[in-house]
Amino acid sequence: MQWKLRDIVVAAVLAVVSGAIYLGWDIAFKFVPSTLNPVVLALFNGLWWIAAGIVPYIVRRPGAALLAESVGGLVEFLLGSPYGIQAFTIGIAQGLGVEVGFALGGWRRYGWGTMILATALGGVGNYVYSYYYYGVNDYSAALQIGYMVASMVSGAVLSGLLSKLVGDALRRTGVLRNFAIAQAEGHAS
Amino acid sequence: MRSPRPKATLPESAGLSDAQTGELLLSVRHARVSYVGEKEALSGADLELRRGEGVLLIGPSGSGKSTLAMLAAGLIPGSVEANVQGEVWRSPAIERPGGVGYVFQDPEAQFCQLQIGREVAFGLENMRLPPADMPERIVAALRDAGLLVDPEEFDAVLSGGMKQKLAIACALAQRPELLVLDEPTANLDPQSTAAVFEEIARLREAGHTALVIEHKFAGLLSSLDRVVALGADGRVIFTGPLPSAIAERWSELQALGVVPAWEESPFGSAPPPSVAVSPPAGGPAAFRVQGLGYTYVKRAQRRRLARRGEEPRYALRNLSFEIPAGGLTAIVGSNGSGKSTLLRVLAGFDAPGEGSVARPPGDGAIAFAFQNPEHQFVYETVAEDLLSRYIGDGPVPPEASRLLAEFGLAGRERQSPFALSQGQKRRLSVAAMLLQDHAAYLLDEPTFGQDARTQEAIMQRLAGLQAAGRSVVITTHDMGLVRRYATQVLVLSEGHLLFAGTPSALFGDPGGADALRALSPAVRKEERAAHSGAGSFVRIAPTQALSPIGRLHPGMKLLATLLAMLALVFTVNVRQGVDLTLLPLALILLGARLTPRAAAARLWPFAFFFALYTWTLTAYAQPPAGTPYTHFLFFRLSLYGLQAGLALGMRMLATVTFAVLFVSTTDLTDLLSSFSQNLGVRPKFAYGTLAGMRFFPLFQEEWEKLRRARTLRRHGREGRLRRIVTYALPLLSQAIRLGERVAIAMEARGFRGAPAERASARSYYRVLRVRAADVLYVAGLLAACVALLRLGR
Repeated sequence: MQWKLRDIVVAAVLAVVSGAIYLGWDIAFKFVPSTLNPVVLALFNGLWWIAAGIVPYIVRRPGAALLAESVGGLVEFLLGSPYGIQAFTIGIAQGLGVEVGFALGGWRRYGWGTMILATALGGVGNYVYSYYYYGVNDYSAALQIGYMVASMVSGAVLSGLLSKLVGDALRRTGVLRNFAIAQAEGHAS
Repeated sequence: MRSPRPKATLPESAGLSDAQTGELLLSVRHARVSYVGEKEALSGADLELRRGEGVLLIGPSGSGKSTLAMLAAGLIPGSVEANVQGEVWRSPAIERPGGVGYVFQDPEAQFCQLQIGREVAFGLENMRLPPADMPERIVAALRDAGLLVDPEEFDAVLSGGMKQKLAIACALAQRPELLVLDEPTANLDPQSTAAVFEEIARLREAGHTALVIEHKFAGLLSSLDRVVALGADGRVIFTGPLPSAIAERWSELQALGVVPAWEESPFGSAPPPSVAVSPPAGGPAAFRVQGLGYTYVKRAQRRRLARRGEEPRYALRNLSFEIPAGGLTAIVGSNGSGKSTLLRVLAGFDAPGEGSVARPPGDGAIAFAFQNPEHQFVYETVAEDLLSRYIGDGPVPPEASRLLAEFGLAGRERQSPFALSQGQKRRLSVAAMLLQDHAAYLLDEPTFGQDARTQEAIMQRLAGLQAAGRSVVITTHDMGLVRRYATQVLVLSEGHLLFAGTPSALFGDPGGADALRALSPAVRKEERAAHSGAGSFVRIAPTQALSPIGRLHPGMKLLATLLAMLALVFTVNVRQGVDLTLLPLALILLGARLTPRAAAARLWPFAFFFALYTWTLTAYAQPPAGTPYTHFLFFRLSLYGLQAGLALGMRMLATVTFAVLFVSTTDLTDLLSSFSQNLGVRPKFAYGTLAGMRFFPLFQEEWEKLRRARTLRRHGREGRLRRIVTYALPLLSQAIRLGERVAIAMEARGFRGAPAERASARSYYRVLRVRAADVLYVAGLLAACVALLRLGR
């Protein structure tokens, strides 16, 4: 499970694309009425760690989620995200959360179950970070739990399921022939 | 400048030229190569190369030319996974890092740095050249490659031709024994192609050994010694001295599909005759264009220019002409002359800024094909893309299967269109235009980058449409094609119409000669920058780079920023937030020398978030027991929450201000390089990440093209989620292909083994050291943050 140079470059390229998506999401988020309940707002969160879903799904290497999400956040930050360097640091937290999920599968399992579990754990990373930096510590306990669960559900759908869908479609195009995702094709879980 | 050539040490056949007596560098015998999950790419090829030789490698597409070249360069197996059988012998001279300089065909996919000088230095770092020796080598290599640019400049500003010269410079800096040029002009227009050919001729005069793969080889015949021609099965069908071997085998090369049938032989015989039948004179017009003007300059910018009495740059200016119905019209002109713009305006895709365009009436009267067929693929299978509708597991309609078979795509109905070869993709996009009848067919460079066979198949189709009374309009660089098929030619230069008439008038009349001169590669203008603002998202202004904070160590600055963030967790009130915002703000203005206006421009977008956080806590905070609050609708408003919200908002503002301080003074390359130099991160991670990140500006362009293509091709309503996925496919598959090619190009420059795996096994062009000032900055900033936190409590 050694990283090849092509795994790294492609991980970075996909992370860059994700970073641009994050910035778009940052801006789109401005149009969501901020008067909504934080739990509802948390349902938007999952897309912010899609790099941590799609990249590990394709390259299947230990650390892929963390690397991709950090780079994605770094790009979002460099592009001028209104969240500043927090875009980068929360990316590390989200990426760590997802990485734990893939680690639980020994970095060998990338089926539906693992994808959903791992990307949902990204929501836990998001919660922990937001607890310290985005004032979630001031919410009532019920609201905090709601916030975390909503983030997890959002991650499972917008990062996990979407990544699997996109990754499978990409595999069918044949461009992933030299990546772990295509080599695992025959005996995918 | 090269060492004298040693005499032959191995026996050779009779009739040796000077070059053929050089020391043997490479010998490939009966090589068979197959890639994972594919049929054999090379079945029994032979190749021998001697020092000082110049060899031209040709063959139809799919004959394995690149595979053979990569095998020669030692990239297969290794950088590219493949199964290799047969004998491959490489001299130790070409085995060292940089021993083979490899120039790939795609100018966008062989660089991994952001600046020109550093790009050249990357290969030298892999060779562990001491940094003190690098600047001299870089300047010399750029000069030898004929690229007169500032090494500090970003490579994103270079044109395609200049990028290929940069790739050559990168190879030359490593002082290679062998240069491999793998279709270096495939993505270039005739002007840039001519410039690259001149460069190859110069390198050959300087004695460089070269293996060149090239379709448009007419301009290279005098600078290379020998040709090796591969057949469709990847075996050598002939080899011989240049130019005589080509002259003898010209018709065979046409039959093989190496050169298109309309290409004029470089050996003086008359050009192939025209097969075009013009529509009768005085017939109706398909398009009538009057006083057309078009500019990409935005309205606000135009107004600003007008106030200063200036004119915007026009892409098209004052064009008036008619395109007769039932003709085949070719729009020609050098890059940037406005060809594609004109085609899009004709299609009604972009509205004319001035003047008028009358086009065939009716919905769907015009079909349009983009230069890159992938931009138009919307569905997941070939059949669906042809039909423009979702069929899923349902049966493929017989008319679709018939059309696909006619285009050599039989049996591929259920494949992904992205899995097709370049030629197949183009044929599919043309087939999709043919499924329904249109009055006019507009195609942007339909033959560009295609092999001779596909070019011929497409042109015969278009000629057939024209014969059936349809109007066909194409843009092209290929004058042989114009001579053979066009009934009308429009020559554009810098947005002006130089000539409109028949090809015979263009090639025969004195008026045509003037227009032809404007197209000639010989009178090319100064090579222009491709895109101006490119790379700007990581570009640091010189004022900031040279400011006191700009000169600090990037890694230490990141550490300082992260420590400041940690300190910010402990802010509890508004006062602390304000103080900790003013601190970085002062540093931005005084230490980084940003103007107040520039600082404000970077900070204002935060205003919304400030409001958001204030509101969220005002309405949702859990006030401690005993503090008052009121219920309003489903909110719990409290003064406590408002204060907490303001404090949080200020904390966020402080974070953002620290971020602006960091971003406006830190060079991305230095930052990633310092991870490797100072933290021991494996170079392949640091440099691989940088290589991926440099693609960003390219994606912006791709996205824009994709968006344009999609607005034209409206697709069905079926499967919304599926559609989001397929919308992402062109961009992502392009991204993956580019990333993969860049990784191969990096390894070709010696970035494998120790220099890629161990931070200490390579040298660094820009040596970054942590100095006392850096430590002082980190400690000082942290101390200031702590002090302000305590004061504001």
